[in-house]
Amino acid sequence: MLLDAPSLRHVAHLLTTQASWLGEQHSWLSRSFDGLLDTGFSGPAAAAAVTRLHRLATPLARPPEQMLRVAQVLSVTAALQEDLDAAASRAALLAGRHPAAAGALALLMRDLRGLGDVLDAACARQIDALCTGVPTADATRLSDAPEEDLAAIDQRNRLSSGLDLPADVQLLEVADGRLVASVGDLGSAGAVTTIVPGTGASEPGRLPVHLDRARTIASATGGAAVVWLGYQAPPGVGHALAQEPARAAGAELQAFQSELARRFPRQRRIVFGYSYGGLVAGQAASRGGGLHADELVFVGSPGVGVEKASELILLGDNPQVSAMTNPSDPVKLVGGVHGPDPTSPAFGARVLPGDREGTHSSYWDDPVLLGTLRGWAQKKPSALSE
Amino acid sequence: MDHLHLSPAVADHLLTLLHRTSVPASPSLAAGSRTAAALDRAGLAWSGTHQRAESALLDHARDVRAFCERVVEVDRGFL
Repeated sequence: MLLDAPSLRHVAHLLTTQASWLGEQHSWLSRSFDGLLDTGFSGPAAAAAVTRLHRLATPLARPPEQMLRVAQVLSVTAALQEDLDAAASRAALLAGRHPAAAGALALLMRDLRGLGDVLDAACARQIDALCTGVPTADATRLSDAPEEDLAAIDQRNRLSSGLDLPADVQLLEVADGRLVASVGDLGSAGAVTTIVPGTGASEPGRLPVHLDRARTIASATGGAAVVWLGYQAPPGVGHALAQEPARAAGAELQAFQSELARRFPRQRRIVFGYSYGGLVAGQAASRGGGLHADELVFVGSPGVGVEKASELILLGDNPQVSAMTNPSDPVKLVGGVHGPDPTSPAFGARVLPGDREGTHSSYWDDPVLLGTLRGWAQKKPSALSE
Repeated sequence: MDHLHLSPAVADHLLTLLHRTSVPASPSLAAGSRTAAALDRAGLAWSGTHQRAESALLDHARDVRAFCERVVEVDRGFL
């Protein structure tokens, strides 16, 4: 745990004592100013001088007032920290008595640590809000809280959103219609596949479907998978004709992948752009700065916003662009809307064979695609394989 | 006409106002938490607020004292 309840209480006590002393000092100063008039210092100029002394001393009252409020915040935080400590002690006791429950208790301990981190962040924000001009805007993106661990971010996001998600999910970002969640242990996984869903993906009620797809991919790759809905996906095909949502989303995806690379530099990164999500991924990779990915695959794509794969900048270990579209996928009917079909030879991507009987929604259990993802995820870094 | 009355006690009292006051001493927590960092920031803010106010107060008290001394000098000049 980051916070220590006895230390918090001790500091709260010291602040209260200090505030009391400063308050007395301020009162003594005020009496001294008035005492000047008692010495015979009189007349309009004298009165103006004393009034000004009182005015100039007014800011001296601020620190003790703030100290008392901070002492209250620290006392409340200490009480909550004691609750967390007590829960952690009970969990440790149970782990000793019931070895079979060790897995569940380890998860509980992780969540308790996460709550401790959230408590620390909330306490710090209160102190900043009370005493300093430090902005206290909410952290809504993974990169907004670079020092916070994923368990704490998950806890904070769950508390702020009220979303009731399964225990195997970590809520990485949630705000303003955006949602990014991971399955699998993102912190320790050797590889992460970022799934960028397309049209209709932001509809309420679709999240369980996306999470199931992420679980399938995490299981196939032996790594983690991220459902990246860092944008409002177009609700229908008509809306999906516009490229503007994808352009804005491309910048968000680029920033997200960049933060993943910063946090987990040794992890292999696969970006899976599905349907309109391929256009988002294409925009992310064709922006200045490039996209942190070792593999970028477009699946069931209506075009990715560029003419050729060579226009995409991937930041990774021997990165490659691939594409897959089932021959009977109706997305082929809208080919060209957002650029050439990425499975066309002229585009220059590595092409994965589509399932002749597959549809636009059958990719998620396609054994060829899942096997390819597994191979990418478990590929050794080129420096080691040479 | 406005008047200003000065006695020797005024000068003595103004002298006591030139004493420095205690700067807030901010307790700290062991480094490593956001709360500890926020407490450090608060401590800096408190001492900054105090020092700026005290500096303005002392300047004003010195000005008043210098003004009073000039008035006494001018008053003596008329004797």
